[in-house]
Amino acid sequence: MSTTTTVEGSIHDSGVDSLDDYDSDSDYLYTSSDDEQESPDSSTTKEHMTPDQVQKFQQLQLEQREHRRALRQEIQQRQQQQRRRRRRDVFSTLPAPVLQQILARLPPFQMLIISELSRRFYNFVVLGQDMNEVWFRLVKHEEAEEKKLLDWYKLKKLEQEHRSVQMLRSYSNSSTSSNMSSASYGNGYGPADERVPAISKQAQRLLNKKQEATGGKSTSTVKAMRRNDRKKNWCKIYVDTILRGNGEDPLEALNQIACGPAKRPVKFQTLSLNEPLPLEYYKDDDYRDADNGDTALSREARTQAKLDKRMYYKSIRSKPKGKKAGQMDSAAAKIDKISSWRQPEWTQQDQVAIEEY
Amino acid sequence: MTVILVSSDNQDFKVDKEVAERSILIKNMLEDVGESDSPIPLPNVTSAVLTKVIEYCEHHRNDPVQVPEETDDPRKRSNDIEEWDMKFMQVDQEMLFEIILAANYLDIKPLLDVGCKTVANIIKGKTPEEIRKAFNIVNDFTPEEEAQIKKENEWAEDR
Repeated sequence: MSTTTTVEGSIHDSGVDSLDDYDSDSDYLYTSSDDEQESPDSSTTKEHMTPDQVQKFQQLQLEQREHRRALRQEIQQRQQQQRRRRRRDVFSTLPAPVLQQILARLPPFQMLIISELSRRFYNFVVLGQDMNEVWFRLVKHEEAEEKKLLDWYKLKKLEQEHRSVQMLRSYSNSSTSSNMSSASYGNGYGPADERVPAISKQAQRLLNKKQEATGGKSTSTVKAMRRNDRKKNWCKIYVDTILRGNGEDPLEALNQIACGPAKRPVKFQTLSLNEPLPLEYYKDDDYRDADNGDTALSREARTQAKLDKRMYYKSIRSKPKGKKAGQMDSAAAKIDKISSWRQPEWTQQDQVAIEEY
Repeated sequence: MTVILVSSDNQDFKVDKEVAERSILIKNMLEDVGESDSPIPLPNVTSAVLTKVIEYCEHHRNDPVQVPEETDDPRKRSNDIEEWDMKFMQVDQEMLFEIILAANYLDIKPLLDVGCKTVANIIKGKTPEEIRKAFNIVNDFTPEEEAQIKKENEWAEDR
Protein backbone atom coordinates (compact mmCIF):
# COMPACT_ATOMS: atom_id res chain seq x y z
CA MET A 1 0.00 0.00 0.00
CA SER A 2 2.71 2.39 0.96
CA THR A 3 4.49 1.99 -2.39
CA THR A 4 1.36 2.77 -4.32
CA THR A 5 0.90 5.85 -2.25
CA THR A 6 4.50 6.81 -2.96
CA VAL A 7 4.02 6.40 -6.70
CA GLU A 8 0.79 8.29 -6.70
CA GLY A 9 2.41 10.88 -4.54
CA SER A 10 5.27 11.25 -7.01
CA ILE A 11 2.79 11.84 -9.82
CA HIS A 12 1.00 14.49 -7.85
CA ASP A 13 4.23 16.06 -6.77
CA SER A 14 5.12 16.71 -10.35
CA GLY A 15 2.53 19.45 -10.03
CA VAL A 16 1.12 19.16 -13.55
CA ASP A 17 -2.48 18.43 -12.95
CA SER A 18 -3.76 20.60 -15.68
CA LEU A 19 -2.24 22.42 -18.67
CA ASP A 20 -3.51 25.69 -17.43
CA ASP A 21 -1.18 25.58 -14.44
CA TYR A 22 1.76 25.01 -16.67
CA ASP A 23 4.15 27.82 -17.33
CA SER A 24 5.23 27.51 -20.93
CA ASP A 25 8.54 29.25 -20.37
CA SER A 26 9.73 26.86 -17.67
CA ASP A 27 9.37 23.32 -18.90
CA TYR A 28 11.99 22.00 -16.48
CA LEU A 29 9.70 19.13 -15.54
CA TYR A 30 9.77 17.68 -19.00
CA THR A 31 13.34 16.92 -19.81
CA SER A 32 13.94 13.53 -21.38
CA SER A 33 16.18 12.50 -18.48
CA ASP A 34 13.26 13.17 -16.22
CA ASP A 35 11.32 10.37 -17.85
CA GLU A 36 14.00 7.80 -17.40
CA GLN A 37 14.96 8.82 -13.89
CA GLU A 38 13.73 6.74 -11.04
CA SER A 39 13.46 8.21 -7.61
CA PRO A 40 15.87 6.63 -5.02
CA ASP A 41 12.89 5.94 -2.81
CA SER A 42 11.31 3.77 -5.44
CA SER A 43 14.46 1.56 -5.84
CA THR A 44 14.62 0.98 -2.10
CA THR A 45 10.94 0.18 -1.93
CA LYS A 46 11.32 -2.25 -4.89
CA GLU A 47 13.52 -4.49 -2.74
CA HIS A 48 10.69 -5.07 -0.30
CA MET A 49 8.12 -5.72 -3.05
CA THR A 50 6.70 -8.96 -4.21
CA PRO A 51 7.06 -9.66 -7.98
CA ASP A 52 3.40 -8.78 -8.43
CA GLN A 53 3.89 -5.47 -6.77
CA VAL A 54 7.00 -4.79 -8.85
CA GLN A 55 5.09 -5.48 -12.02
CA LYS A 56 2.32 -3.17 -10.88
CA PHE A 57 4.89 -0.57 -9.99
CA GLN A 58 6.53 -0.79 -13.39
CA GLN A 59 3.18 -0.54 -15.10
CA LEU A 60 2.38 2.53 -13.10
CA GLN A 61 5.72 4.05 -14.07
CA LEU A 62 5.00 3.32 -17.72
CA GLU A 63 1.58 4.95 -17.45
CA GLN A 64 3.21 7.92 -15.81
CA ARG A 65 5.66 8.24 -18.68
CA GLU A 66 2.89 7.98 -21.23
CA HIS A 67 0.96 10.62 -19.39
CA ARG A 68 3.98 12.92 -19.36
CA ARG A 69 4.59 12.37 -23.04
CA ALA A 70 1.02 13.24 -23.85
CA LEU A 71 1.27 16.33 -21.70
CA ARG A 72 4.51 17.34 -23.40
CA GLN A 73 2.89 17.05 -26.81
CA GLU A 74 -0.03 19.15 -25.77
CA ILE A 75 2.30 21.76 -24.35
CA GLN A 76 4.32 21.86 -27.53
CA GLN A 77 1.16 22.41 -29.54
CA ARG A 78 0.13 25.18 -27.22
CA GLN A 79 3.55 26.80 -27.54
CA GLN A 80 3.28 26.66 -31.32
CA GLN A 81 -0.09 28.34 -31.13
CA GLN A 82 1.34 31.00 -28.87
CA ARG A 83 4.22 31.53 -31.25
CA ARG A 84 1.76 31.87 -34.10
CA ARG A 85 -0.18 34.40 -32.10
CA ARG A 86 3.03 36.30 -31.44
CA ARG A 87 3.42 36.87 -35.22
CA ARG A 88 6.41 38.65 -36.51
CA ASP A 89 5.90 41.97 -38.25
CA VAL A 90 6.03 40.91 -41.89
CA PHE A 91 4.31 44.03 -43.14
CA SER A 92 7.24 46.22 -42.18
CA THR A 93 9.68 43.89 -43.87
CA LEU A 94 7.94 43.94 -47.24
CA PRO A 95 10.16 45.23 -50.03
CA ALA A 96 9.62 48.84 -51.07
CA PRO A 97 7.97 48.16 -54.46
CA VAL A 98 5.40 45.85 -52.84
CA LEU A 99 4.75 48.30 -50.04
CA GLN A 100 4.37 51.06 -52.59
CA GLN A 101 1.80 49.02 -54.50
CA ILE A 102 -0.19 48.39 -51.34
CA LEU A 103 -0.13 52.00 -50.21
CA ALA A 104 -0.95 53.31 -53.68
CA ARG A 105 -4.29 51.56 -53.34
CA LEU A 106 -5.19 53.51 -50.23
CA PRO A 107 -6.88 56.90 -50.14
CA PRO A 108 -4.29 59.72 -49.79
CA PHE A 109 -5.24 60.62 -46.24
CA GLN A 110 -4.85 56.97 -45.21
CA MET A 111 -1.39 56.95 -46.77
CA LEU A 112 -0.59 59.78 -44.40
CA ILE A 113 -1.94 57.78 -41.49
CA ILE A 114 0.44 54.97 -42.44
CA SER A 115 3.30 57.39 -41.82
CA GLU A 116 2.29 57.43 -38.15
CA LEU A 117 2.94 53.71 -37.68
CA SER A 118 6.70 53.76 -37.26
CA ARG A 119 9.84 55.53 -38.36
CA ARG A 120 10.23 53.21 -41.27
CA PHE A 121 6.80 54.08 -42.60
CA TYR A 122 7.27 57.79 -41.98
CA ASN A 123 10.49 57.78 -43.97
CA PHE A 124 8.91 55.68 -46.65
CA VAL A 125 5.65 57.60 -47.07
CA VAL A 126 6.71 61.17 -46.44
CA LEU A 127 10.37 61.28 -47.38
CA GLY A 128 10.97 58.23 -49.55
CA GLN A 129 11.46 58.36 -53.29
CA ASP A 130 9.27 55.31 -53.95
CA MET A 131 6.15 56.99 -52.65
CA ASN A 132 7.20 60.37 -54.05
CA GLU A 133 6.12 59.17 -57.46
CA VAL A 134 2.74 58.11 -56.11
CA TRP A 135 2.25 61.58 -54.60
CA PHE A 136 3.45 63.18 -57.83
CA ARG A 137 0.91 61.20 -59.81
CA LEU A 138 -1.78 62.17 -57.33
CA VAL A 139 -0.96 65.87 -57.65
CA LYS A 140 -0.97 65.69 -61.44
CA HIS A 141 -4.16 63.70 -61.42
CA GLU A 142 -5.89 66.24 -59.18
CA GLU A 143 -4.64 69.07 -61.36
CA ALA A 144 -5.98 67.38 -64.46
CA GLU A 145 -9.31 66.80 -62.74
CA GLU A 146 -9.50 70.45 -61.70
CA LYS A 147 -8.65 71.53 -65.23
CA LYS A 148 -11.37 69.29 -66.56
CA LEU A 149 -13.83 70.78 -64.11
CA LEU A 150 -12.78 74.30 -65.02
CA ASP A 151 -13.14 73.53 -68.73
CA TRP A 152 -16.56 72.15 -68.08
CA TYR A 153 -17.66 75.28 -66.25
CA LYS A 154 -16.17 77.48 -68.97
CA LEU A 155 -17.97 75.49 -71.59
CA LYS A 156 -21.24 75.81 -69.71
CA LYS A 157 -20.82 79.58 -69.39
CA LEU A 158 -19.91 79.96 -73.02
CA GLU A 159 -22.84 77.85 -74.07
CA GLN A 160 -25.09 80.01 -71.95
CA GLU A 161 -23.56 83.13 -73.46
CA HIS A 162 -23.94 81.74 -76.94
CA ARG A 163 -27.57 80.92 -76.28
CA SER A 164 -28.33 84.40 -74.98
CA VAL A 165 -26.64 86.02 -77.99
CA GLN A 166 -28.59 83.80 -80.35
CA MET A 167 -31.78 84.76 -78.59
CA LEU A 168 -30.88 88.43 -79.02
CA ARG A 169 -30.10 87.87 -82.69
CA SER A 170 -33.36 86.15 -83.32
CA TYR A 171 -35.13 88.94 -81.51
CA SER A 172 -33.31 91.64 -83.44
CA ASN A 173 -34.01 89.88 -86.77
CA SER A 174 -37.67 89.76 -85.97
CA SER A 175 -37.71 93.42 -85.05
CA THR A 176 -35.76 94.84 -88.04
CA SER A 177 -38.98 95.97 -89.56
CA SER A 178 -39.30 98.46 -86.75
CA ASN A 179 -36.00 100.08 -87.89
CA MET A 180 -34.15 99.04 -84.78
CA SER A 181 -30.50 98.45 -85.38
CA SER A 182 -28.92 95.42 -83.84
CA ALA A 183 -26.27 97.70 -82.42
CA SER A 184 -28.81 99.14 -80.06
CA TYR A 185 -28.81 95.77 -78.26
CA GLY A 186 -25.10 95.80 -77.77
CA ASN A 187 -25.29 98.35 -74.99
CA GLY A 188 -23.18 100.71 -77.05
CA TYR A 189 -20.36 98.23 -77.58
CA GLY A 190 -20.85 97.82 -81.28
CA PRO A 191 -23.08 95.46 -83.11
CA ALA A 192 -23.86 92.24 -81.29
CA ASP A 193 -23.25 90.23 -84.49
CA GLU A 194 -19.58 91.04 -84.38
CA ARG A 195 -19.08 89.08 -81.16
CA VAL A 196 -21.06 86.01 -82.08
CA PRO A 197 -18.56 84.22 -84.33
CA ALA A 198 -15.71 84.61 -81.81
CA ILE A 199 -17.78 83.17 -78.98
CA SER A 200 -19.13 80.34 -81.00
CA LYS A 201 -15.62 79.41 -82.15
CA GLN A 202 -14.41 79.22 -78.58
CA ALA A 203 -17.47 77.33 -77.52
CA GLN A 204 -17.05 75.01 -80.45
CA ARG A 205 -13.45 74.30 -79.50
CA LEU A 206 -14.40 73.45 -75.94
CA LEU A 207 -17.32 71.43 -77.19
CA ASN A 208 -14.94 69.44 -79.39
CA LYS A 209 -12.71 68.84 -76.41
CA LYS A 210 -15.65 67.65 -74.40
CA GLN A 211 -16.71 65.32 -77.18
CA GLU A 212 -13.19 63.95 -77.37
CA ALA A 213 -13.23 63.29 -73.66
CA THR A 214 -16.56 61.52 -73.77
CA GLY A 215 -15.37 59.56 -76.78
CA GLY A 216 -13.22 57.41 -74.50
CA LYS A 217 -9.96 59.27 -74.71
CA SER A 218 -8.52 59.80 -71.29
CA THR A 219 -7.49 63.38 -70.66
CA SER A 220 -5.83 62.70 -67.33
CA THR A 221 -2.68 61.07 -68.62
CA VAL A 222 0.01 61.72 -66.05
CA LYS A 223 3.42 62.30 -67.49
CA ALA A 224 6.47 60.57 -66.07
CA MET A 225 8.50 62.34 -63.42
CA ARG A 226 11.33 64.48 -64.64
CA ARG A 227 14.61 64.93 -62.87
CA ASN A 228 13.48 68.24 -61.40
CA ASP A 229 10.25 66.68 -60.18
CA ARG A 230 12.18 64.02 -58.32
CA LYS A 231 13.85 66.65 -56.17
CA LYS A 232 10.52 67.97 -54.88
CA ASN A 233 8.62 66.56 -51.93
CA TRP A 234 5.32 65.78 -53.64
CA CYS A 235 3.78 64.51 -50.42
CA LYS A 236 4.13 67.98 -48.96
CA ILE A 237 2.91 69.58 -52.18
CA TYR A 238 -0.12 67.33 -52.28
CA VAL A 239 -0.97 67.92 -48.64
CA ASP A 240 -0.49 71.69 -48.87
CA THR A 241 -2.13 72.41 -52.18
CA ILE A 242 -4.79 69.77 -52.55
CA LEU A 243 -5.71 68.34 -49.17
CA ARG A 244 -5.28 71.51 -47.14
CA GLY A 245 -6.35 73.68 -50.07
CA ASN A 246 -3.61 76.29 -49.73
CA GLY A 247 -3.05 76.48 -53.46
CA GLU A 248 -4.80 78.75 -55.91
CA ASP A 249 -8.38 77.87 -56.47
CA PRO A 250 -8.72 77.25 -60.20
CA LEU A 251 -12.39 78.08 -60.03
CA GLU A 252 -11.50 81.64 -59.04
CA ALA A 253 -10.59 82.19 -62.67
CA LEU A 254 -14.20 81.58 -63.49
CA ASN A 255 -15.15 84.89 -61.95
CA GLN A 256 -13.37 86.54 -64.84
CA ILE A 257 -15.72 84.91 -67.28
CA ALA A 258 -18.73 87.10 -67.51
CA CYS A 259 -22.06 85.71 -68.40
CA GLY A 260 -24.24 87.49 -70.90
CA PRO A 261 -23.01 90.21 -73.30
CA ALA A 262 -19.32 90.78 -72.84
CA LYS A 263 -18.27 93.94 -71.03
CA ARG A 264 -15.93 96.40 -72.56
CA PRO A 265 -12.47 96.07 -71.04
CA VAL A 266 -11.63 98.76 -68.58
CA LYS A 267 -9.09 101.21 -69.96
CA PHE A 268 -6.58 102.84 -67.72
CA GLN A 269 -5.82 106.34 -68.80
CA THR A 270 -2.68 108.25 -68.10
CA LEU A 271 -3.76 111.61 -66.99
CA SER A 272 -1.76 114.67 -67.85
CA LEU A 273 -2.35 117.56 -65.59
CA ASN A 274 -2.51 120.29 -68.20
CA GLU A 275 -4.60 118.48 -70.72
CA PRO A 276 -8.30 118.37 -69.97
CA LEU A 277 -9.93 114.97 -70.19
CA PRO A 278 -11.67 114.11 -73.43
CA LEU A 279 -15.40 114.24 -73.46
CA GLU A 280 -15.60 110.45 -73.92
CA TYR A 281 -14.13 110.11 -70.49
CA TYR A 282 -17.12 111.82 -68.99
CA LYS A 283 -19.37 109.85 -71.24
CA ASP A 284 -17.75 106.68 -69.92
CA ASP A 285 -18.25 107.86 -66.43
CA ASP A 286 -21.78 108.60 -67.20
CA TYR A 287 -22.20 105.05 -68.48
CA ARG A 288 -20.32 103.53 -65.59
CA ASP A 289 -22.30 105.51 -63.13
CA ALA A 290 -25.52 104.45 -64.71
CA ASP A 291 -24.31 100.83 -64.61
CA ASN A 292 -23.11 100.88 -61.05
CA GLY A 293 -25.97 102.90 -59.78
CA ASP A 294 -23.70 105.70 -58.61
CA THR A 295 -24.79 109.32 -58.85
CA ALA A 296 -24.23 110.69 -62.35
CA LEU A 297 -22.01 113.65 -62.97
CA SER A 298 -23.84 116.86 -62.60
CA ARG A 299 -24.66 118.82 -65.73
CA GLU A 300 -22.60 121.70 -64.42
CA ALA A 301 -19.54 119.55 -64.27
CA ARG A 302 -20.08 118.35 -67.81
CA THR A 303 -20.47 121.87 -69.08
CA GLN A 304 -17.37 122.88 -67.20
CA ALA A 305 -15.49 120.05 -68.85
CA LYS A 306 -16.61 121.18 -72.25
CA LEU A 307 -15.47 124.68 -71.53
CA ASP A 308 -12.13 123.47 -70.24
CA LYS A 309 -11.63 121.55 -73.40
CA ARG A 310 -12.51 124.46 -75.61
CA MET A 311 -10.16 126.69 -73.71
CA TYR A 312 -7.36 124.18 -73.95
CA TYR A 313 -7.64 123.80 -77.70
CA LYS A 314 -7.83 127.52 -78.15
CA SER A 315 -4.76 127.99 -76.03
CA ILE A 316 -2.68 125.53 -77.99
CA ARG A 317 -3.93 126.81 -81.35
CA SER A 318 -3.07 130.44 -80.69
CA LYS A 319 0.59 131.24 -81.29
CA PRO A 320 2.13 133.81 -79.03
CA LYS A 321 3.19 136.90 -80.94
CA GLY A 322 5.66 139.42 -79.74
CA LYS A 323 4.08 140.83 -76.65
CA LYS A 324 5.12 143.44 -74.32
CA ALA A 325 5.77 142.65 -70.71
CA GLY A 326 2.61 142.37 -68.73
CA GLN A 327 0.48 142.24 -71.87
CA MET A 328 -1.63 139.13 -72.21
CA ASP A 329 -1.93 137.38 -75.52
CA SER A 330 -5.32 137.10 -77.10
CA ALA A 331 -5.86 133.47 -76.07
CA ALA A 332 -4.92 134.13 -72.47
CA ALA A 333 -7.17 137.14 -72.45
CA LYS A 334 -9.98 135.03 -73.81
CA ILE A 335 -9.39 132.40 -71.15
CA ASP A 336 -9.45 135.05 -68.54
CA LYS A 337 -12.68 136.32 -70.00
CA ILE A 338 -14.23 132.88 -70.18
CA SER A 339 -13.22 131.90 -66.67
CA SER A 340 -15.13 134.84 -65.36
CA TRP A 341 -18.14 133.62 -67.33
CA ARG A 342 -21.03 132.30 -65.32
CA GLN A 343 -23.31 129.57 -66.36
CA PRO A 344 -26.73 130.79 -67.30
CA GLU A 345 -29.86 129.11 -66.17
CA TRP A 346 -30.57 125.89 -68.07
CA THR A 347 -33.39 125.89 -70.49
CA GLN A 348 -35.11 122.75 -71.65
CA GLN A 349 -33.65 123.25 -75.11
CA ASP A 350 -30.12 123.25 -73.71
CA GLN A 351 -30.75 120.02 -71.91
CA VAL A 352 -31.98 118.29 -75.06
CA ALA A 353 -28.96 119.57 -76.97
CA ILE A 354 -26.55 118.14 -74.36
CA GLU A 355 -28.24 114.77 -74.35
CA GLU A 356 -28.08 114.62 -78.15
CA TYR A 357 -24.43 115.42 -78.01
CA MET B 1 4.59 19.57 -71.58
CA THR B 2 5.33 19.66 -67.87
CA VAL B 3 7.84 21.49 -65.75
CA ILE B 4 9.26 20.49 -62.38
CA LEU B 5 9.47 23.20 -59.77
CA VAL B 6 11.51 22.64 -56.63
CA SER B 7 10.56 24.52 -53.48
CA SER B 8 13.00 25.78 -50.85
CA ASP B 9 12.28 22.69 -48.71
CA ASN B 10 13.17 20.43 -51.65
CA GLN B 11 9.71 19.34 -52.64
CA ASP B 12 9.05 18.73 -56.30
CA PHE B 13 5.96 20.08 -58.04
CA LYS B 14 5.09 18.85 -61.52
CA VAL B 15 3.02 21.46 -63.34
CA ASP B 16 1.98 22.20 -66.91
CA LYS B 17 4.30 24.53 -68.74
CA GLU B 18 1.33 26.76 -69.52
CA VAL B 19 0.57 27.07 -65.82
CA ALA B 20 4.19 27.61 -64.82
CA GLU B 21 4.55 30.32 -67.43
CA ARG B 22 2.06 32.52 -65.61
CA SER B 23 5.21 33.43 -63.73
CA ILE B 24 7.32 35.74 -65.84
CA LEU B 25 10.41 34.61 -63.93
CA ILE B 26 9.83 30.96 -64.85
CA LYS B 27 8.83 31.89 -68.39
CA ASN B 28 12.09 33.77 -68.89
CA MET B 29 14.05 30.92 -67.32
CA LEU B 30 12.43 28.40 -69.65
CA GLU B 31 13.10 30.62 -72.64
CA ASP B 32 16.74 31.00 -71.63
CA VAL B 33 17.31 27.32 -70.95
CA GLY B 34 15.23 26.05 -73.86
CA GLU B 35 13.83 22.52 -74.02
CA SER B 36 15.06 20.86 -70.85
CA ASP B 37 13.75 18.43 -68.26
CA SER B 38 15.89 19.79 -65.48
CA PRO B 39 13.90 20.98 -62.45
CA ILE B 40 13.63 24.67 -61.73
CA PRO B 41 14.76 25.56 -58.21
CA LEU B 42 12.77 28.22 -56.39
CA PRO B 43 14.84 28.84 -53.26
CA ASN B 44 12.68 31.71 -52.01
CA VAL B 45 9.38 29.82 -52.01
CA THR B 46 8.38 27.18 -49.49
CA SER B 47 6.28 24.17 -50.50
CA ALA B 48 3.20 25.49 -48.67
CA VAL B 49 3.34 28.80 -50.50
CA LEU B 50 4.22 27.20 -53.83
CA THR B 51 1.14 24.98 -53.52
CA LYS B 52 -1.01 28.08 -53.18
CA VAL B 53 0.72 29.85 -56.04
CA ILE B 54 0.25 26.85 -58.33
CA GLU B 55 -3.41 26.69 -57.31
CA TYR B 56 -3.82 30.31 -58.35
CA CYS B 57 -2.00 29.82 -61.64
CA GLU B 58 -4.06 26.72 -62.42
CA HIS B 59 -7.27 28.66 -61.90
CA HIS B 60 -6.11 31.58 -64.03
CA ARG B 61 -4.32 29.57 -66.69
CA ASN B 62 -6.61 30.84 -69.46
CA ASP B 63 -6.64 34.48 -68.44
CA PRO B 64 -5.15 36.93 -70.93
CA VAL B 65 -1.65 38.03 -70.06
CA GLN B 66 -1.68 41.44 -68.37
CA VAL B 67 0.25 44.14 -70.14
CA PRO B 68 2.21 46.29 -67.73
CA GLU B 69 0.51 49.65 -67.86
CA GLU B 70 1.10 53.10 -66.56
CA THR B 71 -2.33 53.56 -65.09
CA ASP B 72 -3.65 57.07 -65.16
CA ASP B 73 -5.48 56.83 -61.91
CA PRO B 74 -2.98 56.60 -59.08
CA ARG B 75 -5.73 55.68 -56.68
CA LYS B 76 -6.03 52.16 -57.96
CA ARG B 77 -9.20 50.54 -56.86
CA SER B 78 -8.93 47.81 -54.27
CA ASN B 79 -12.53 46.66 -54.25
CA ASP B 80 -12.61 44.94 -57.61
CA ILE B 81 -11.41 41.50 -56.49
CA GLU B 82 -13.02 38.47 -58.05
CA GLU B 83 -14.96 36.21 -55.74
CA TRP B 84 -12.67 33.22 -56.28
CA ASP B 85 -9.60 35.37 -55.63
CA MET B 86 -11.16 36.74 -52.50
CA LYS B 87 -11.74 33.23 -51.18
CA PHE B 88 -8.27 32.22 -52.26
CA MET B 89 -6.82 35.03 -50.20
CA GLN B 90 -8.67 34.01 -47.04
CA VAL B 91 -5.55 32.70 -45.34
CA ASP B 92 -3.69 33.70 -42.21
CA GLN B 93 -1.71 36.90 -42.40
CA GLU B 94 1.68 35.25 -42.54
CA MET B 95 0.61 33.15 -45.51
CA LEU B 96 -0.90 36.21 -47.19
CA PHE B 97 2.40 38.06 -47.01
CA GLU B 98 4.28 34.94 -48.09
CA ILE B 99 2.06 34.72 -51.16
CA ILE B 100 2.65 38.40 -51.93
CA LEU B 101 6.40 37.95 -51.59
CA ALA B 102 6.31 34.83 -53.76
CA ALA B 103 4.22 36.62 -56.39
CA ASN B 104 6.72 39.46 -56.35
CA TYR B 105 9.65 37.06 -56.66
CA LEU B 106 8.03 34.91 -59.34
CA ASP B 107 6.74 38.01 -61.13
CA ILE B 108 3.08 37.04 -61.24
CA LYS B 109 1.48 40.46 -61.52
CA PRO B 110 -2.19 39.48 -61.17
CA LEU B 111 -1.46 37.54 -58.00
CA LEU B 112 0.60 40.40 -56.61
CA ASP B 113 -2.26 42.78 -57.41
CA VAL B 114 -4.79 40.62 -55.62
CA GLY B 115 -2.47 40.32 -52.61
CA CYS B 116 -1.87 44.06 -52.44
CA LYS B 117 -5.58 44.78 -52.77
CA THR B 118 -6.32 42.38 -49.94
CA VAL B 119 -3.78 44.03 -47.65
CA ALA B 120 -5.05 47.49 -48.65
CA ASN B 121 -8.55 46.38 -47.73
CA ILE B 122 -7.30 45.25 -44.31
CA ILE B 123 -5.75 48.68 -43.73
CA LYS B 124 -8.66 50.76 -45.05
CA GLY B 125 -10.65 52.62 -42.43
CA LYS B 126 -8.34 51.66 -39.56
CA THR B 127 -6.64 54.01 -37.15
CA PRO B 128 -2.83 53.83 -36.76
CA GLU B 129 -3.23 51.93 -33.51
CA GLU B 130 -5.56 49.41 -35.13
CA ILE B 131 -3.14 48.92 -38.02
CA ARG B 132 -0.26 48.43 -35.61
CA LYS B 133 -2.28 45.82 -33.78
CA ALA B 134 -3.33 44.08 -36.98
CA PHE B 135 0.22 43.75 -38.28
CA ASN B 136 2.18 43.67 -35.02
CA ILE B 137 4.06 46.82 -35.89
CA VAL B 138 6.24 48.23 -33.14
CA ASN B 139 5.85 51.93 -32.57
CA ASP B 140 9.42 53.23 -32.43
CA PHE B 141 8.60 56.93 -32.26
CA THR B 142 9.41 58.92 -29.19
CA PRO B 143 6.27 60.34 -27.52
CA GLU B 144 7.25 63.82 -28.74
CA GLU B 145 7.70 62.66 -32.30
CA GLU B 146 4.45 60.77 -32.22
CA ALA B 147 2.60 63.80 -30.90
CA GLN B 148 4.16 65.97 -33.58
CA ILE B 149 3.19 63.64 -36.43
CA LYS B 150 -0.27 63.13 -35.00
CA LYS B 151 -0.74 66.87 -34.85
CA GLU B 152 0.40 67.20 -38.44
CA ASN B 153 -2.07 64.58 -39.61
CA GLU B 154 -4.89 65.41 -37.26
CA TRP B 155 -7.03 66.91 -39.97
CA ALA B 156 -6.61 63.82 -42.17
CA GLU B 157 -7.99 61.49 -39.52
CA ASP B 158 -11.29 63.36 -39.47
CA ARG B 159 -11.87 62.56 -43.12
